[in-house]
Amino acid sequence: MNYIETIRELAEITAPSGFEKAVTDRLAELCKPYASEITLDPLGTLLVHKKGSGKKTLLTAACDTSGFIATYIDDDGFVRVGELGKCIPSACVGLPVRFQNGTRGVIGCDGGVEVKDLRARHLYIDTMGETVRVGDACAADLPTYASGDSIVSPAMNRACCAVLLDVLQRYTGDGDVTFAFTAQGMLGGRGASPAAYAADAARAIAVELTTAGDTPESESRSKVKLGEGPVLPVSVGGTAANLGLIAELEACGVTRRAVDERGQSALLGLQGVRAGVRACVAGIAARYSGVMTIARVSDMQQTAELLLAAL
Amino acid sequence: MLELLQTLCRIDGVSGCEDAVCDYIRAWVTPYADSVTEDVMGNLLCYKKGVRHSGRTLMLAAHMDEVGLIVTSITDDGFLRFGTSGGIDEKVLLGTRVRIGDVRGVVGVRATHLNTLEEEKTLPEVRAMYIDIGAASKEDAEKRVQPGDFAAFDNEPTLYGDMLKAKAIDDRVGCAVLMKLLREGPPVDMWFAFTVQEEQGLRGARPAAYRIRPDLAIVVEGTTAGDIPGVKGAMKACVAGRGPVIPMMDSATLYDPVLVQRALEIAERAGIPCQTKTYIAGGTDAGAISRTAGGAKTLGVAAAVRYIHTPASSVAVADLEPMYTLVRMLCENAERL
Repeated sequence: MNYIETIRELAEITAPSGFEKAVTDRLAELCKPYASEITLDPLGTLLVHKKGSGKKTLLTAACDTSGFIATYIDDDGFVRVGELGKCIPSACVGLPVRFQNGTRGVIGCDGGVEVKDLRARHLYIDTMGETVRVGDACAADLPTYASGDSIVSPAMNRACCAVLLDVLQRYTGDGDVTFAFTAQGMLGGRGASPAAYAADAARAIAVELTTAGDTPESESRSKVKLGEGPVLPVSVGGTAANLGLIAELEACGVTRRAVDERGQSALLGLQGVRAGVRACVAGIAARYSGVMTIARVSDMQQTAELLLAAL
Repeated sequence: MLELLQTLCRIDGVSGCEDAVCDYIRAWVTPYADSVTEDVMGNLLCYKKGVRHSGRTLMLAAHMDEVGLIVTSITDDGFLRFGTSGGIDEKVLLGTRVRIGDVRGVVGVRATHLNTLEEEKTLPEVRAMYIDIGAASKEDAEKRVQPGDFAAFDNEPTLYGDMLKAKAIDDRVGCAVLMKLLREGPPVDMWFAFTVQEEQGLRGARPAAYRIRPDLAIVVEGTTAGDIPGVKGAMKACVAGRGPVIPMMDSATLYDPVLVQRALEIAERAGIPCQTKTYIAGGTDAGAISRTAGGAKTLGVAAAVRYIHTPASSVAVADLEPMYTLVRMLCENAERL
């Protein structure tokens, strides 16, 4: 699979949290030749089942991006918004966005607010007079591109989706695998729990981005570097991963454990479903969670290899 | 609706101790419901056949509990220390009348004469507050109250201008809508879930939804209205008197965007005034219901409530009937949602 082309295609689809249909429609097309069954759950998660006689496994990747939902349009046409996923307000000022109906806009902020006091409620979208309805959703309107082995994208979750696609296309074993492209990942991993219920698998691996700590004065304790292959966080945002499952993955060749302090993981949602699910995260090191994220193609490819070995 | 709402608001059901509310609702709905069960959490789950079957499992939910206080200990002088059950801004507690069953009390507040200059500028924390039940001693207080007892705001529903003021409008207003629909007979087969512990973190709704397994749940609620001085534009969130609110999103749930648009269309066609929520805040049982088992689509309908989570929460009387009509219309259109 050509990662760069696949990620670019998926990343350019405007489909923020709760509004994933545009991307799940495309993912369903890409999965169709390899799937036994494809369904959409009530939250909008795409469940792709590859039947097998062997062990049941759930692989998840959030398919949404962060974005904004229009909540109020003032008399001059400026659009007030709610956050679909936590934004860093100061990083959003000046950001070009695109609504699902194609309307483009630029984010502005109320005057007189100090940067440190800036909150999402101070932001608005200037759509230059183009029409937006209350309830319409938008996401960053920025290009995804490659630079050497790196990919730069405002929608890097789609790289995790690409890893799942790669595994689906290449897996030939007898395992029974559900590939869940989950909805509302940026809203706290909300799609994970219903997906795990539907898959009814005893083990689940979430492919997610793991905060890299290889940047100047990084406060990340785990010092994860780009380009060193998949990361196995023992804990994500305070939720412990299943150490037995981590050991299984390590037996497939990965030795990089880490602690990820970031919050938006599927892990918590996966674990408590039915009689309990052994769950862990296969992490792709990524720099910057503000607007543009940087990750390495080689890390994505090695994550796919790891999953193929583990299934 | 108004009379029923007033009656429900008079009953105390602080989050974690909803028994009195549950008893009242159970007795009231039993003649109308086809089945009435109470689960281990205390949720009251009623099923009622409608005029037709919609082909989907439809669940209406409203929570029985209200924010209030829980007694944690009794001081040597016979005053009660307490914690909060549900989100309460400590500012509203000072000097507030409360009741613990039949025992009346007041949250003590230091008279201005006793404050230092520094104390005048700050608010005491809940930990430092106490309830005065007029007990002569610790022993005297222990005869009437024990740690673990719940205290509710002590006031009588009151009409002022176009508004009804009462404690617990959040969410007796939802309970009243569900009860009326049960009595009048729903258009389609459906479940009515009166849930517990919503204010403690949506705790009752999950087992309720696990049992019912809805395809679609409509959560009927009270929501924050910010149409008060000093709040402008989108920050108003919603406006009392402008009809029921169909929220697109809150802190716990992104209501199904397609259903939200359809619900707005249904309201418009039926000529029911309604509004969306212009600021994202709060959370409802939909957060738990939507993620239970394999998940469910959710929709919200809420009354715009000023001063929510205070003893003086207030709803526009004119919003009550349209809110009921909207919920009924949505159920009538269950196949199209």
